[in-house]
Amino acid sequence: MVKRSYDGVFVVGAAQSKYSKTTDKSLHRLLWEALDGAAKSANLPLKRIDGLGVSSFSLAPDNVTIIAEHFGIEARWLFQGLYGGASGIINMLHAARSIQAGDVDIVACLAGDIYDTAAHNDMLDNFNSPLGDYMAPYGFGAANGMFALHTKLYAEKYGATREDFAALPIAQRKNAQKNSNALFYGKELTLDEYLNARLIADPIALFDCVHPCVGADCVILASEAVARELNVPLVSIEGGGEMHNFPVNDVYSLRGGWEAFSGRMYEQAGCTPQDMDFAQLYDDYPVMEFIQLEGLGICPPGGVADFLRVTDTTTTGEFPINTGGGQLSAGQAGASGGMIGVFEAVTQLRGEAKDRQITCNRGLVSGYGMVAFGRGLSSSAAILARV
Amino acid sequence: MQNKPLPRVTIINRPFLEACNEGRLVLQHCLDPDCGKAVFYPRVCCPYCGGGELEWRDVEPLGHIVSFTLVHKPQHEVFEANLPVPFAAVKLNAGPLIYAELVEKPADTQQLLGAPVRIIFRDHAGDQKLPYFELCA
Repeated sequence: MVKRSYDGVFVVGAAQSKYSKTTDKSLHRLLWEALDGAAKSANLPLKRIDGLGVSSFSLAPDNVTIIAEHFGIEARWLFQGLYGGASGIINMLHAARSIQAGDVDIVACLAGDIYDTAAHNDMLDNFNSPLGDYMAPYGFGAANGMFALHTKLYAEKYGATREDFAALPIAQRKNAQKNSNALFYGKELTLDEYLNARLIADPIALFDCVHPCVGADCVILASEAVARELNVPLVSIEGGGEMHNFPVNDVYSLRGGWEAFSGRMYEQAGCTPQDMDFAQLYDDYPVMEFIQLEGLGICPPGGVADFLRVTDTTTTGEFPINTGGGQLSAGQAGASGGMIGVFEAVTQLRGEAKDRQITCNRGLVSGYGMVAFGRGLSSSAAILARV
Repeated sequence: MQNKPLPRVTIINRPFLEACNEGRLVLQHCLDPDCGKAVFYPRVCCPYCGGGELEWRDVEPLGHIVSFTLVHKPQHEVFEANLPVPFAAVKLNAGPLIYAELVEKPADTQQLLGAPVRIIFRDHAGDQKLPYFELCA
């Protein structure tokens, strides 16, 4: 029997800092701004938080313990995200388990970075030994080159065209026109612009790539006893999972960890992929959104292109994807790329998404990260619902 | 201009990198008789069976292209001398996957998936040679 696993825990607050190309602020200040915003949206004083998770690529030499000290939080529970863009959801799921067990009452799950292309490339050289020692010595093009190899194989195996890969970047850009915090707010993207963009790593061109940026996102989880006293909209975690290094020793089968746990996740939630009102996917590259849609049971393997030809994924469509623009249009703020979808899902389910608000009761959020020898090793996802 | 990045030489990968300098491709092989697989990248144990007995052996420097890209925007300036950079994933005949650049940009990229390649060793940076791929005639 699968327990309805995250009963007794609620997401009670969410906030996002200003997203921008550069900043005069410190990373610590940026993280605090997201945390402070989330605490206010939870109607909670910051000092009541007794657990903290932080995911950030550029935090060293500091870490989550130092952030607790810096912010004046007495913490009886800490988490540091070591799974790249899968960390945000994993932070949330691990925190929910500890809240259920009574080890902690209120956990802030925080992610953010001050990020640009040079910082990204330098980081990848030293990200881990398989990537740094056996790929990065060559002109492999960093993450763009790594995912060009998967994109080429996906196109070859399933006949997906450039137009097929264009569908999500273009729809997400439309969504970003209703999100004033998106980097590409005010800049539409046409199919012609997508198809004629300069090549970065064939077949990946400019609009298949995220724009590294500055930003932070935060959600706050609380026990039911705390949540019920706050008088704020509550969001429940209906199901979730994580998987790493799946399939083992198999880099190029165009699969990821989601298929290993999504059946159990839907069983936990007592619903099916067809019951989802939206998906907030980890959109580092369109091909990985395709593989997530397959692994999460929204489309059969190889069926994403057909699905996108008949499905409007904008905020006014039948299955909205990345309703705030996602990383492709809002920007990739480093490790916040693993939290931007959580922030967006919670904001939609609280009914606070303003111009981009969709009608929704429950939806998917997905994470992916820790690129190593040719692929990202970590996958995560959760089903969140309006209470 | 900076040099091309190099792998960090460690107690784990030193035999591989030293063999590169001698123009030989060596891979670890699992000594468990029920496994016996060849391993790359270099490890302290076999990632197929978990066994801890690995032996370095010469393998034939041949494989085929699993996927490739032409990189127009490499991650560092040092790679911009010869654009685009042809970069490929190759499955070695011995089993494992390995990454490297092709020594020259192929005239026809339409037929590259599955194309057989030979692994050769070229000066990379400092005193270190690294594997590169050359299309078989």
